[in-house]
Parts: sequence; C-alpha cells; structure tokens
Amino acid sequence: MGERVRTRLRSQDFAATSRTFNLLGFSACVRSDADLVPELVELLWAPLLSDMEPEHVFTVTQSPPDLNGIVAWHLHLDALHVVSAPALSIVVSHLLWEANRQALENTPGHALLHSAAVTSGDHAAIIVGPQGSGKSTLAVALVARYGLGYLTDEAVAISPNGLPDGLMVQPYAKYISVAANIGEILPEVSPISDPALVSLLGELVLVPASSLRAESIVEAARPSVVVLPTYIPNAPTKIEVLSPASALHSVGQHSYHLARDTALVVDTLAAVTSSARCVALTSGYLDDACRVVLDLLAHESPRQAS
Amino acid sequence: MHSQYFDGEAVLALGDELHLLNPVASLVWQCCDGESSETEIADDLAEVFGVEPGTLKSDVEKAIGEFESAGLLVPDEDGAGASQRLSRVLTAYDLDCESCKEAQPRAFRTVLEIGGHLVVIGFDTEDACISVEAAFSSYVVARSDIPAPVNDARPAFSLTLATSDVDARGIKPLHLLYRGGEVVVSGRDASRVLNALASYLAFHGDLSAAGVVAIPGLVVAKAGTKPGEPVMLLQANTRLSGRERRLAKMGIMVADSPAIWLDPATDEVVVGAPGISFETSFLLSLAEGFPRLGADIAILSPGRYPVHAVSARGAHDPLSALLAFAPPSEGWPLAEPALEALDALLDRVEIIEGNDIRE
Repeated sequence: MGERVRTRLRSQDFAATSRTFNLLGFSACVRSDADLVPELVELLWAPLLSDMEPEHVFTVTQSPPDLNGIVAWHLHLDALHVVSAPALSIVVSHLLWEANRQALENTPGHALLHSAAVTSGDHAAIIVGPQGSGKSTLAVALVARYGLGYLTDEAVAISPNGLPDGLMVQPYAKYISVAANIGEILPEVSPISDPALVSLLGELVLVPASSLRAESIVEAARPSVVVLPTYIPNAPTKIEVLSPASALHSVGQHSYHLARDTALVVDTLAAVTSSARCVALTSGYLDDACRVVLDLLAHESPRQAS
Repeated sequence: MHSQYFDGEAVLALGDELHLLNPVASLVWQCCDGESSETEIADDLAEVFGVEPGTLKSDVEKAIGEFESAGLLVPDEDGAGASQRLSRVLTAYDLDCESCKEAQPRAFRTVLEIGGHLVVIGFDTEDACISVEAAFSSYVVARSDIPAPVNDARPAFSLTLATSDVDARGIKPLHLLYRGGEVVVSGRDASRVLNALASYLAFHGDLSAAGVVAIPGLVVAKAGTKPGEPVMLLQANTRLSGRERRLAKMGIMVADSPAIWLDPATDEVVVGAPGISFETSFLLSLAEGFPRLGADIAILSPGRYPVHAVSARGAHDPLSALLAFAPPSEGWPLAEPALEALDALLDRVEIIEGNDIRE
C-alpha cells in the first residue's frame, strides 16, 4: 500500500483504533466507527499485540442511512473493499477470516500447515488434521487441562532447515474457535461472555488464547512429535507409527501453498518427519488421546509440571 | 515436480498433489530417465537384486502404468522410454470471469492477443468477424497458433448486430456488445457498440504503458460536453446498459468504457481505448451495413477530459470517497497505482456525496 494512502488511513478520525497485531508475517491494526471492534480485536489477539507501526490497516466504517433508512457497515483492508453488510457481526467475522488469510499469504519462506501445535519444554507436538478430526479440541485440552504450552490452533509455520532458527514452529497464539457446547467437554475453557462483545461475534464462539491458562503462551519450539488424530465417538484408542515418507505424504496434504512453494514445503516437512516421532492416532476419548501425546512428548523431554 | 527420498520410499510432489511410492516404485521412478525402456529398467533392477532377468518386468510395467495414470510420466513418442514430467504447461491467457463461462457459443469467432491475454470474440455473421479482424489486424492470432483450450473457450466478448429495424415480434432490436453473458453496451447505431468493443478490449491491454490507471466507475457529464471540458467520476458497482439510458433522459452523457481510465499525471480521464491501436475505417464500414435503429443516446466522444468532481454514496471527505470506490463486481482488484492516483485526485477535486444524480 502506498505511503500516501497509508498516511490518510492513519490520520483520519475514527471512533477507536486498536494496537497493532502481528499475525506471523502480517501486521495490521483496526480503525473503526464502532467503539467495540478494536476492543474485541485486542482481546482476541492479545498475545500478538505490539506498539509497532502496522503495515496494513483494516477500516470498519458505517455509511449514513440510504433512501430507505437502511445503514450498511463496510470492511476495507488498506482501502480495498472486503465486504459490506447490514449487520456489524458479519463484517467482524469477515475481518477475522481475512486477517487469518493474510497471515497465511504474508509469511513467505516458511512451510505452512493447517494444524495445531503445543509444547512441552522446548519440544513441540504438531497436531495435523482436517476440520472435524478433533485437533483443536485436543490442542485446547492439552493446554487447559494438562498444562502444555500453546503455539497455535490453526496454522503452523515452520522455518526451513539450514537457517539459524531452522525447523522451528513459530508461535501464532490466536484465539480458538470452539463449538457452542465446549463447556460440557472442557469446563476449564472460557469463551468470550461479555454480552456487548458476544453481539459482535454472531454465531462464533471464541476463546482468547490469553484466557486458556496463565503462562500458556510460549516461544518457538522444535517439532519432535507429529500426530494425525481421528476422532471416532467411543472408539478405542489406537496408535499407528508412520514412516517418514508416509507421514510426509499425510501431513503434506494439509499444507498451504504446496503448489506455489513445492520445494520449500516438501523439503521442510521431510526434515520434520525424518526427525520427529510420527503417529496416526484414533480415539473416541479426549483424555486418552491427550495421554498419548503427553507420553510421546515425555520421551523427548521431562514433562513440565502442570 | 519435486521429490524426497527416504529409506526405500519416496514422496513426489506435482502441483498440489503428493504421491507416496513404496520401495519398488521408488526405484523404478529413479530409472525413468526418458532413455530406458521398461525392459531395460527391469533388467537393470534384476541385476541389482541378483535375480533372473525378466523376473521384475511385470512389477516395472505395473509401476510405470500407475505413474502414467497419475500423470507423473509423459509417454515418449519415439518409444525410447517415458520421461518425468517437468512441470505443468501454463498458457498466458486469462478468461476466468464467470460471465465468460456462461456465454453462448457464436457461429464465428476470432482470437486477439492483447497485453499477454488471448481474448476470444464471438460474432453472429462472418462479415462482422472479418471486419473486426481487419480493424485489429495487428492483434489477430493465426488459427494455427491458437492453443487447443482456447479453441473451446467461450467468447469473452460477443457482438450482436441487428439486421433489421424490427424483429419477428415487431419489437425494435438493438445492437449489442456482450461481455461474457452480460450486455454491457447497447445502441441504435452499430458504430457505438463497435467503438465500445475497442474500449473493452483496452481493459486487457497494458494500461501502464498507455500512461493510465483503471478505476471502477462511470465517467459522466452534462449533455453537450466536449473533449477538454470537465467531467465527473461516479462510483458504480455495475455497468448495466439501462443505467446509461436513464442518465441520458436526464441530460447526462456517459463514456462507453468498462472502467475509468485516469491519467495520474494530468488528472484527466481518457475516453476511448488507451493503449490499443485499430483501424476505425473498418469498423465504420461495417456499421454502415447495419441499420440505424433510431436516435441514440449521447455518449462522450473519445478524448481527454479534466475531472472536476467525484461522487459516491457516503463520500463526504477524501477517505470515505476512497473507500467507496470498491472493486467492481467482476472481481478485479484496484491496483496500487490506481489507488494512489485516485487518492491524489481526491485532494484536488470536489467530493459530492451520493451517487444518485438526481440528489
């Protein structure tokens, strides 16, 4: 975005502006006609805030009533239109989605996986799977109930081999999107409940990372364990050890930008699966699945006391 | 194509696909060098494993058959051996708009190469096709050079030139320019839609070389405006030809163009087809062969016009005006040079709130 446009976006008066949030390689702030939007954004991305100048600006604006008295809310990213809608909650959900998408598009030089990641000491466990596999619930349980560190529930960014910080999972401690009945499964987890903020979220049920557990936000860690979970209700817990090639083939299916960054993605993931313990895990019981991951990590380092 | 080898196994990546090879397939794959036949590969592997020649032939044939089925191998035409596909073939054309996909086939078609894009134009008559090819002769792609996928592609633009002033139902037809399946320009004078075709083709050209940026919206002016006289930029998300007719009834002229061509150096809009060279005589000659269907609405003549105002719904200052000029429904993004040019312009012109001209 040109400096001229950037200056105009920053200098215009808005009701409220958020601090800068850094989502992997994407830094932005939100400027809004609605007071609560920046407050919500800062709550959701609390571990990722900084006082640096943002590279990008989201604006949430409201246009005056039209001839029929209908108002509209508009979302722009750097003056480029994203969405318009009569309900602010629709615009907010698009803002969250677009910010995450930009994080994935603006983090070059890393292999990106659609997966969760948790840590025990300096060792990370990457939990890879499609929607519905149980990876987010497993990750949240490991952090909230079993005391592991939280890296991310959405996108794992792994720096390539050969660099000084090579083969490390970068932290991306964003909020976690959970099912409405999460309280029944994990009473330790507290989604946003402030009515004013809930009204901005529509159907979304979100848990800020900072509310998971005190001191759960951690630094980058080396992946020592790769788990591909499959949740089948009431199924007994089974583990299948995967060869590095099988693990790469399975994990690679969940990578972003495989076609665009083939060599980077394949070589980085090959280095991970060659050095990590890789298993396919089937289970119908959350605590059993957690204990499998804990045991795998325990082989790498003494587990932190919860 | 990218590959990683482990203890006996291999993983191949081609585009967004991953393929897992067991130890036998992995060895066969490494032998597919484009020079060795299946028999030779089988014999080489037999020697490595210390078994009788021919023992592994069926395994090799099966592996190669699976490679070909997965699209990993390109069969060699002279029979020497299959070679690994190095990359997917990419063509330099862009016909990804939804309305293009929905357009009906036309009896006649031509393909123009403009700014690195291959643009298919459909016609109902051979005369129209020949005349347009003559007008844009420097851009016509020879039939033999047209890639096969383009031959089957639906036209990006189509011309329907009415052959009589009344159709079978007694209704007066119009001359029409389609973009994909949507009418973007209609007129009672065939020369209008033919000149509009040039402006729409310019969209696929190299606008930066022509010194202009493309901004979504309409150029409007009061009736009788001539080149050199001021115009207004109007934010608009759609380009319905009916809108121009309603504006004309209010004494407002428009430019037949898919976007606003703004010259950032002079704050002028260019009406016409910037960056495109064509012989107008062929288009005028073609137009004369088709009936005038009555008086046409007034449109802005080709030329340069200074901008005196910008109007958009909810725009009351430069920032709100900037935010109002969203990308059009076709989905192409507002390029950064266009964003910067529009932003600079907004500091120098009047900003009028509302895009209803009657307000």
